[in-house]
Amino acid sequence: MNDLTQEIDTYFEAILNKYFEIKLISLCSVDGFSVSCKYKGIEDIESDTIAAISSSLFSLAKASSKQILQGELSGTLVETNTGNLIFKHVVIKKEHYVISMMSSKKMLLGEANFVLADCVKNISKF
Amino acid sequence: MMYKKLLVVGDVGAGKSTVIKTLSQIETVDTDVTSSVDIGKKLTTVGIDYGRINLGDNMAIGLYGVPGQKRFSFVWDMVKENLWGCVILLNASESNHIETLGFLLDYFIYDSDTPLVVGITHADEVNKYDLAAAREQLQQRQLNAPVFTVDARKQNSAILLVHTIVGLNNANDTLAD
Repeated sequence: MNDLTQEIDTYFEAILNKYFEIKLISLCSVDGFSVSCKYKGIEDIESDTIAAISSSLFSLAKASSKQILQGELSGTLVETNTGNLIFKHVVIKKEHYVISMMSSKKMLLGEANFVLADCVKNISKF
Repeated sequence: MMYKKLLVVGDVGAGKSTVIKTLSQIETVDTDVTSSVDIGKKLTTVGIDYGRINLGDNMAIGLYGVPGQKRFSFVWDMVKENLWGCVILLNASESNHIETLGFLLDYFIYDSDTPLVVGITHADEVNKYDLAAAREQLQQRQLNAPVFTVDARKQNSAILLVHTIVGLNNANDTLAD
C-alpha cells in the first residue's frame, strides 16, 4: 500500500465516523482504478466496480458539460429514493482523480455536497 | 428515419474511438481520459463513445463504442440490447487478444442472431498475422462471422466494417422472408 492510499484510507475512515449518514466514500483515478474505498452499513461492494462506475459516469458528465453547457465539469450527481451519489473531480500531486460519496436520503443534498467539497479541498493538499 | 444501433467493442488500444471518429458524420461524443497505466497510448475510453452515420435517406446508425475491460461491463449492459450489429475490434499486438475475443463473444453474441464482424487492427505490427486463432474462437461457438484486418484510421477500411454488417443484416432479412 503506498503512502497516498494510506493517507486517504485514514481520512475516509474519519469522514465515515464523523457523518453517520455517509455510507460510502471512494477515490479512483480518472481511468477507473481504485485508490481507496471505504463504506459502512451496506452490502459488500467491489471497489473496482465503484471505481469503474465513477470514472464512466464522470467522463459522460464531462462530455455533456463540454458539448451542452460549454463549461468545465466539477461534479455530478445521482439522486435516488434511498440516497444520493455525488462525484467530484480532484487533483492530488498533479494527478487527476474522481472522488465519490454515497449518503442516505436523511442527509440533505446540500450538506452532502458541502462535505464532499470540503473533502476535495482537504485531500488536494495531500 | 430509422435509427439503428451499432456496437463497437474490443481491446484497449484496438481503435474503437478512432473507428467511430473516422466513420461519424457528426462531432463525436468521446469520454477519453488520460490513462494512469502504460497501455501504449495516452488516452483511454472509460464511458461511451458516440457517433452517427447516415445510410441512405431513411436510416441512421448510432455508433456506440464501449471499453473492452471487464470492469466496465456495466457499460456493456447499457448498450447490448436491440443491436443492429456488433463490431469486435482486437489489437493484434496484444498477446491476450484472442482471449479477449472469447469473453466478448460469450457476453455479446452467444445465443444471439446479432450480425457480427471481427476486425483485427495493428496487424501490420505483427509478423505474418494469422486470422486462424480468431476464426477458431468463432467456430467453437458455432458462429460464422467475417474476420479481417482493418486500419481504424482509414475511412475505406472502417466503412468496410459497416458495409459487412449491412450485408449480414440483408442476408438475415432474406432468410426471414
